Amino acid sequence: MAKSDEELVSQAQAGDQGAFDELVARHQDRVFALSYRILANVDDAADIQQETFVRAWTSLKSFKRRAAFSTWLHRITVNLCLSRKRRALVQVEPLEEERASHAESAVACLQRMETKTVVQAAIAELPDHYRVLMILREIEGRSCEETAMIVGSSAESVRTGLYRARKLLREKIRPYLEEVDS
Amino acid sequence: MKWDCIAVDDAISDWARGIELPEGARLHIARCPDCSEAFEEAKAFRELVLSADCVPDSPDCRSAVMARLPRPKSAWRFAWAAVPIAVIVAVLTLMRPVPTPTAPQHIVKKSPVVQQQAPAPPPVIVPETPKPATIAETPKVRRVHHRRAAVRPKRVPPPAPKESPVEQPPEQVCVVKPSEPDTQPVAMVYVTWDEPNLDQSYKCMVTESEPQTMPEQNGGTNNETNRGI
Repeated sequence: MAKSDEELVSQAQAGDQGAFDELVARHQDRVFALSYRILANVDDAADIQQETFVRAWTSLKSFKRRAAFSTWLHRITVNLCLSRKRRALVQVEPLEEERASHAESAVACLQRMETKTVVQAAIAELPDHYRVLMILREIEGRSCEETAMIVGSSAESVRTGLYRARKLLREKIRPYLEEVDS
Repeated sequence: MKWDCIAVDDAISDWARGIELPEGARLHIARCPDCSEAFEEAKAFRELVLSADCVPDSPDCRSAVMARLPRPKSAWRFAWAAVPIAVIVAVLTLMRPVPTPTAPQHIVKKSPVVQQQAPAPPPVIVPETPKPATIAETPKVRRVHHRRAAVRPKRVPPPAPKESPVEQPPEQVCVVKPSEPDTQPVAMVYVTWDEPNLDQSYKCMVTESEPQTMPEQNGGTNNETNRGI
């Protein structure tokens, strides 16, 4: 029977690196996805992924279990990503991995790629704080309370930020919203 | 709960995900054009945002992370230092001098034994080497001291020459008696001579000058020059 995160965290806090290895295996994909969504760069996301777990191991004694381990882990990830963006002024580019990867009709492919690229660019142009809120709330589907714990603010502040972020993003992608409706 | 535009916007986002819209939010949407427009576009908005999200496969970072973790601190991490520390302690123990107990006061009073054990520094014997050649050439009166000088300790011949391999010539003391009976002897004359065949009476010559006959301009009576030695 698989152990819960809480049990593994307890063992890891006692110095069990095997238990921490199991926690890494469980959460590395979500940590990488979050860092990639914020940074939009595979190499930077991989660096942040490793750094997150190393930082988590060194700070594990200070984990007081007021939130879930994943929430605490993603908070480390967000802080590291924002810190890297501030330090290195990472230019967030539209995600291009799947460009022209499908053997569909050229028009449909181009149309979908254009929409996707525009939306990605619109998200990337959001202020960092708004973009993180959008990723956590709209893409990863977290609650306002959990998002607030990750970004270190109140739920009310998160709702206000999300309201402004959605408004900004909606204005930028409005033509494509009408296409989707039609 | 107060249903303002911010709260309703969040409720609309939940509704786009399949969560039922609260009644208070519905009432607000019915009378707010902005929130009504957001409600109409909510599902399309969510679809676009999700379509823009594409994440490549995550690399497996387990080995890299575990390699970067600091090693757990063990009590044996200082074991390497045990050998040099033991060597240093052993060397210091062997080089340490035997402790001399500090003598208490009552032992100090009984300490002649200890003082006897400590040898006194040998006396520095500086042999007074005579000049045989000079003595041989001039077998005359070598040193003449009057009475006051004879009582001085420093004028007494030191015992060191006795230890000297060079034999000292014998010294004799002659007390010159005055010719007149009522006068006292005024001088002791040390006479040293080296040649035994010489007549002592011949070599011992003392001239006496009477104190009352001293010239007044010569000062005190103890002046050696007035003794006529």
